[in-house]
Amino acid sequence: MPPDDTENPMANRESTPTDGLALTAAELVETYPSSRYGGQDRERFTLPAESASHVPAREVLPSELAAKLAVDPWSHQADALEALSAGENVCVATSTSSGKTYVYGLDIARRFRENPNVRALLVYPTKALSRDQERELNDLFDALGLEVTVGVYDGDTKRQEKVRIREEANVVITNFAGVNQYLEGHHRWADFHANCDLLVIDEAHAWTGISGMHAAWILRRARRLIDWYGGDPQYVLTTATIGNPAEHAEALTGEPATVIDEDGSPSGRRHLVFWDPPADGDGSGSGGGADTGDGDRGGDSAWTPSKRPATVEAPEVWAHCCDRGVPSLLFCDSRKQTELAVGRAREYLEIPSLPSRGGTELAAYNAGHGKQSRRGTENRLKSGDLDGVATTSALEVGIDVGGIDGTVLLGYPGSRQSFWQRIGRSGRDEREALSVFVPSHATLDQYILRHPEYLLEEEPESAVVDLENNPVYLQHLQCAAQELPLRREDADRFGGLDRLERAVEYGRRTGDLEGSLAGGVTYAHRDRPQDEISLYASGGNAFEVRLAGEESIDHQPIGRARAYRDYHEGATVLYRGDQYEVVDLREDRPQPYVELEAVDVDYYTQSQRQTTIYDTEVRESRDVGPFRLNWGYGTVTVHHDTFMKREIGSGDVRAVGLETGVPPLEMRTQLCWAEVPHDVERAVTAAHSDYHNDECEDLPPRLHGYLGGIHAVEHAMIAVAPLELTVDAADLGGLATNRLPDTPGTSGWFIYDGVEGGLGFSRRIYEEYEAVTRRARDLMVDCACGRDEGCPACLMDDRCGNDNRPLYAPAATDVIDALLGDFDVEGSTVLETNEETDGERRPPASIS
Amino acid sequence: MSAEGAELLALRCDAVADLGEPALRDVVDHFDPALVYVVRDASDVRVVSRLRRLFDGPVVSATGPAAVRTETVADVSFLFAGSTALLEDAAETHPNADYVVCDDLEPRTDAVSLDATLAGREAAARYRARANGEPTFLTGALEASYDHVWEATVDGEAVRLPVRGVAPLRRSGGAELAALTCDRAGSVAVSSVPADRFGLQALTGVGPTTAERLRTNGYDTRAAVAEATETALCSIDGIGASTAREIVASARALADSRVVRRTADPVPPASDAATPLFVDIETDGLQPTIIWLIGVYDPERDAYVDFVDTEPTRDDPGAATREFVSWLAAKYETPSLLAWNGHSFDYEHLERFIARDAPEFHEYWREHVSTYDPYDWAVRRDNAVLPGRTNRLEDVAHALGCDRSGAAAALDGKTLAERIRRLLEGSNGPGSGANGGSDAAISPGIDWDAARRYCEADVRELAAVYDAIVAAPPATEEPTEHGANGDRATDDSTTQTGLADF
Repeated sequence: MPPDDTENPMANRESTPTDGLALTAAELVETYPSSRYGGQDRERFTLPAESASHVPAREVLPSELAAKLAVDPWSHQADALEALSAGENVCVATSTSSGKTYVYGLDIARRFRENPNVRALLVYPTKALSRDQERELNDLFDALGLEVTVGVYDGDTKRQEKVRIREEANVVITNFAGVNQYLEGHHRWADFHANCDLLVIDEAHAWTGISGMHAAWILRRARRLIDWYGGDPQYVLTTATIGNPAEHAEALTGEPATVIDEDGSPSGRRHLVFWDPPADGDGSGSGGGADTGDGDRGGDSAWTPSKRPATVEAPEVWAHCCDRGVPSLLFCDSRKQTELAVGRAREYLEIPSLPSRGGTELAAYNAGHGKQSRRGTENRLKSGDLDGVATTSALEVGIDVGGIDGTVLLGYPGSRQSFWQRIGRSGRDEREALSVFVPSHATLDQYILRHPEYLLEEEPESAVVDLENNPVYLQHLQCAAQELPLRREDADRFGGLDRLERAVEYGRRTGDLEGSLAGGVTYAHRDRPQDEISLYASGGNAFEVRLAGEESIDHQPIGRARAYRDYHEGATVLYRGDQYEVVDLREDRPQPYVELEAVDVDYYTQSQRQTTIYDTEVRESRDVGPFRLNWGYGTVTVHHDTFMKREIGSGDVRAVGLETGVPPLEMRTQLCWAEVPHDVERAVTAAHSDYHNDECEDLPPRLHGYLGGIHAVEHAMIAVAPLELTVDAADLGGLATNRLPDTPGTSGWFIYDGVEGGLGFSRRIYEEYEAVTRRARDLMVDCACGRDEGCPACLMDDRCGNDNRPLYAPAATDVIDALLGDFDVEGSTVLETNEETDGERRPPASIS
Repeated sequence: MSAEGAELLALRCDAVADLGEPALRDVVDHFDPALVYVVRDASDVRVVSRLRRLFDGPVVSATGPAAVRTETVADVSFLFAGSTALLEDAAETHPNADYVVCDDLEPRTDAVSLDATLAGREAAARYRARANGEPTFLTGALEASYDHVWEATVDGEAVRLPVRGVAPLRRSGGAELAALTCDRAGSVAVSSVPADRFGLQALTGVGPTTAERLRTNGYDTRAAVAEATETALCSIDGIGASTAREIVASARALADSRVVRRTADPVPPASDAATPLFVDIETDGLQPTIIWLIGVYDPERDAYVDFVDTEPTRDDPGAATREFVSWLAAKYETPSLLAWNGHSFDYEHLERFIARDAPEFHEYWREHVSTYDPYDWAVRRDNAVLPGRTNRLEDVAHALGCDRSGAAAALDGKTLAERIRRLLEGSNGPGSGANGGSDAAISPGIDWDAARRYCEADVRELAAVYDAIVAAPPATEEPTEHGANGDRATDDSTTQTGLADF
């Protein structure tokens, strides 16, 4: 879960070293042992310092409060407070550590002075963050001399405490799963709702995709009840920088919000280095393989990346920084990696031929260490006893890390937001900082290495919240009807009258709803429909995630699609940095579940899928160049029938073709697809008819090139989608086919949302098609592998049900060029039309 | 249970598969049906044959030969069809059914496109068009809470198809067996009991494990347990002192049909408080949009008073509430109200309606009216064990010997709520007023008098149950672990709205 700035910009700091940053980017390279240096310094950037922009406190706060505030607020805090005074909703999209908490903290403070019975609901993404925020808000209110009561109300809150908080707390801190439940007992919250002035959604960018649509409906349900009791709250959303803050705020809350993104907080100069692991000539390291999560595919392609893995290189750079007086954090993906990294760094520092200064203290930090040990590490870090800590995402947020000057990233964390969050842990206030990004051999890492402008200049990813999904909509409608009868007046909030009427009729027919919108629609059963909601699944029937034996695991329920894909029997699961193996998947009972067992193995698993698509229904179409592009619904059958095991670190294939034992999953979902014009197909087919892949004996030989091309386009588009949208690529699937279901005389490729009812991702890709295909093209053209058949960092996908065959980049780039208008079919020399490829003689061939 | 109409008990084999012979006999004795129907889903011939041995009335199994069969019980005729295809000819051979039972009838749904249709609708509609009466369709594919009127067109004529489910209700704790009282006019009342409340498991504190322990130690009937001493039960491995106390209390309560107090706490309200008034509200469902009937019984005057809104409209859903509270304020300075499960339902909604529709009385209600909930006191707070298969008021009252008769017996709260809802929808603006005639002909009208008698029966039963609780001798000593299993009694014995404290 992405994090936030929980740092208090106005509190006293631990002392930071008075001397400056020990190594700049240039000095890092200069001091690096020459025996270890092979041109890793691929890119170097200097991000200029920003000075703070303050607004006098008395301009935005009543004088008594302003007098008690030690520091003047930054300009964005002041802007937000002003917008709130004007009755607007605000969405604060500023940098890490820019004091977003103070926006609503101060707003609550000034409201409290007017009305001591004021109430505010704060929704945080995790329980852990809730406790941190409670502390921080209490400190603020104490400093201001206000008796504002703050309470955390969640699954860990004791019953008596709950009563007190409901009745007395001015500020209630909870999470979305909690709100979903508490709404049912709204009469217990009558006073709270009636006086609710502020609804705060922290880390709003985290609510995207499937959990985003749940959050959006939960907020609508909450807002309706608050209205009923006479409350009229304003919204405060805080978010990391995303491409569409205004749109996202409105999608989540259903109301417009003023975006505050002029950051007034200061930052020091930052040196950022892209440190590309060197070619591994001597075969040291772990054998020149790839890192966890990617790797080379076996089979016919004997190509291997001849690089040292980032898992070896990054700990060494980190050790060097720490040794040279740059106290640094190293961010890793798993607990195990943090331990291994510390070991590697120590080995590195002990190599006699390297001029280490000695006395460098390093430690690993992760949730496996237990509270006390972690507190100890935090304190030693703050006091300067430690020079470096290798951590999981656990230190990405919240915890005060003291005077850290450097950050080293082992691999790209998957989103720009998380990248900057991790980078931003070094350099406090206006202190100069050093950050090093060590890319893994993975698609996104390699793309970013070659396109740093993506991080530095371009628009950030857009958060996608889709309210189209009817199965999810129906679930929340049942909850809403159970909470308070649904009426026609609710239509604006619940999808518009037409959709609401259809859904109510649907519910009446299935027996879940009773009544009419004129008189009030109510829920027909005595159970609690809220219990059926899982924020991470669509349409109920979520799988519980259990641990074998007595132990318990705090894992969210998962949807069926994800269970079949990643939680089949035999699958390894990495959860909060720990390894588990799935030992059981059961769904022949009311509560389906998967059971995990903690394991310590040196491999990971990945399932492969077979996909078929039929019953497509076009909802929207547009032309892109000579291509017809469609978006709509279709029935997708996905069968994750086999899985493979790969060695962690090297990525070497240990076993393939293992059976998952899960049945095919059929879903009606949203998808987009491109129809390739016949002349383009003919031209590209002819131009690449020489390409032949021996493994593809099922496919007509002449078509290996062309089919490899559209298959590659489909893979590459999915691979780069996370650069445009906040999407986990695993939630997307694709299929390239010689015969589209509705127009069998035409070839094309699909991209679909891997969840019943859809997620809105394919819809966004439909809208942003040109940009996504352009990125896909860059990915394949720029990849260092230089291979027509691609590599795991560009075209290959471990989930491919066709074993990544055929994939053919030259044909793919031709197809994309034709789509983007850069490929001239007329001008190409291959115009001899081949009648037989048209019409009924077209051979069927689909590859996913 | 005695009532007008035919009692149909519908079972799913998996819901009763775990019941031993005595428990299954207990099921049949309890519901005392005229007819047992075994639905098609999860059918098991062994269960069917056990039922046939136990029950001397007709047992119809949906998986029997694919044929049409009729049964007429208590003057009500049922037509059972193994498939909707068979309904075609049945319209000729058996045109007079009051109820048509066919498990093929079931909604087919597509949640993504929001489409829901009824499988078998055409066949049912053709039967309906050719039949003599206006049959209600019953299906074992749906739960007994299902009640929806489908529409269809036959030869250009619109036909309404009332479809009701009969299968056991799914509950979080397990299935709940349901019996339907079906009268000739198509009116259906549902009563239900959790499937695990029969045999020894009807006793508070006895789950499957304890039941097995009791049986292996020779206690295979509730009567045997009622005669046992706590000490004797304590000597059984796995049964502690407080459980033994609970089991014996419960067995005696059931065996003697009396209340057994488990604590020495006085029954609220305290005797020096104002004389209690027993109240009950009728609404249009579990999340009421209207309170249309409020019944009050004053035991001191032995007088029943009610406030009924015989022309309910959604424009003024609080009319009855307003009348009630103004009467209450005029007549009683500081009344004590008692309602069964009132803390979780009646009071909560009365307060909501008063706040909105009679705000001038809101302060009076909050400051001067005391509210009590004997259900909450007895069951949730573990102060007494009540006789009765469930702790629903009508079950407890029935066990204490209060039986309803006449019109009040053929009604249940949910059915009344459903009728009110349809009435409100029927009066849906001027448009539907025009064809109101046909609507009125089809949707069962409301017999206001019957409804009031139902409500009166309710509050009088409440008074009787309350008296029985007061009359029961207080426990002589505090149970050693009082409160330790405070919530257990509520686990499956109540089906009121969720008790979780959110």
